Amino acid sequence: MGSAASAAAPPPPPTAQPHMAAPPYGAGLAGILPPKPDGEEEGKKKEVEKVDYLNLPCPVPFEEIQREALMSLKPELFEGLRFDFTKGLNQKFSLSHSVFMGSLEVPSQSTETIKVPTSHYEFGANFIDPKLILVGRVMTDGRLNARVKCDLTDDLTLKINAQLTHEPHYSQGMFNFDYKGTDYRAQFQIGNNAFYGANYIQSVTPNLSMGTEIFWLGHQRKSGIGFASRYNSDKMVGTLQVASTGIVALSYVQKVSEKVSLASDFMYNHMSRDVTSSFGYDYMLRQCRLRGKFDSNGVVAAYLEERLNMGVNFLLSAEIDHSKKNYKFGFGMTVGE
Amino acid sequence: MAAAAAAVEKVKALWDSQVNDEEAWAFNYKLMKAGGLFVASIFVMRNFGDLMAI
Repeated sequence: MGSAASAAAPPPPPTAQPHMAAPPYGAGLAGILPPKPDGEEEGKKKEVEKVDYLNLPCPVPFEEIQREALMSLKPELFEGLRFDFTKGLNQKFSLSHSVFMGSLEVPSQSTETIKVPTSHYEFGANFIDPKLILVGRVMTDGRLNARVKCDLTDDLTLKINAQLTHEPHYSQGMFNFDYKGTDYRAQFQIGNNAFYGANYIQSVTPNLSMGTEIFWLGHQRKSGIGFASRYNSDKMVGTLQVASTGIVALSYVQKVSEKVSLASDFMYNHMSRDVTSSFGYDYMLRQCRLRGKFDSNGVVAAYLEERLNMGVNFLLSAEIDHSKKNYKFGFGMTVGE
Repeated sequence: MAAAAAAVEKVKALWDSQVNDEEAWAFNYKLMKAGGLFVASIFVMRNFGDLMAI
């Protein structure tokens, strides 16, 4: 009887322990599952809010900091007739012919505008390769323009600009070395007349980039330093440029829709005590592109490019300067790409 | 009273040098016009730009 009682005693404790352990384990699992998605969501939110300063985008080149504003506010206005013809010989080589007939404004001391009729023909040859671009232009007045762009490495680019004339001491040449980093760009320039320049631009946040430039004109014994900053988002771009030469430039571009952009800029030159502000628009329609502007000096301009056919564009250009009573109108065609 | 009078005199001097001076006013007028056009155009772009969209 005693042995039977002792045999019955051991079984209850082991059976009770498993029953006791099961609920906490299940509760533990149930408790672990719900927080996971919450934690993940929180993590995602933190990722969205947190800025990865070690992985910033590469900024635009220093010289192109105002490219959106320039596209709208400084179209290629011309006066008279303009005809451009580009013929592609193969995938890389093409020739171009340009004819221009119009009036050239001669700077004069008086307030009246003096124009001289002029015309010229320009012959060009282009070689375009993914790593090498050669462009040459020869004009009937004896001027030669040449441009070279060569990718030395994946990050280093060499650009050469040259303009040769038959007039003595008027030829110009410029070498540019562009280096592209992960989140910065640097450029070094060497030109004739002992010109040296350098600029550097760095991304500070995903939307903000700042840069600085310095240049030295050896023959003129002048040097200068400049500062630029650019803030851009999906819908707007704002830039600020200041230079020791006394130039302050502001620009603002608002992308209203996929087809319409509005731009405004402010330019102040302390040396010449000149200040100008302008407002422009850029409409990209299906068959044409319309750009126009008006500024605080009373200049109203418009520029229309219409695609008549594949590779054939019709150009209209008009500019009215109310203060100077200077009126310009131009039309032209572009054949070929 | 003396400080207020001095301040009034300074304001008058500033007004004379910046507004009554013909040369300075010509430049200031251009500056105000350009600055106003810039600020107004940004205001119009941000608030009424959608009306110009296609």
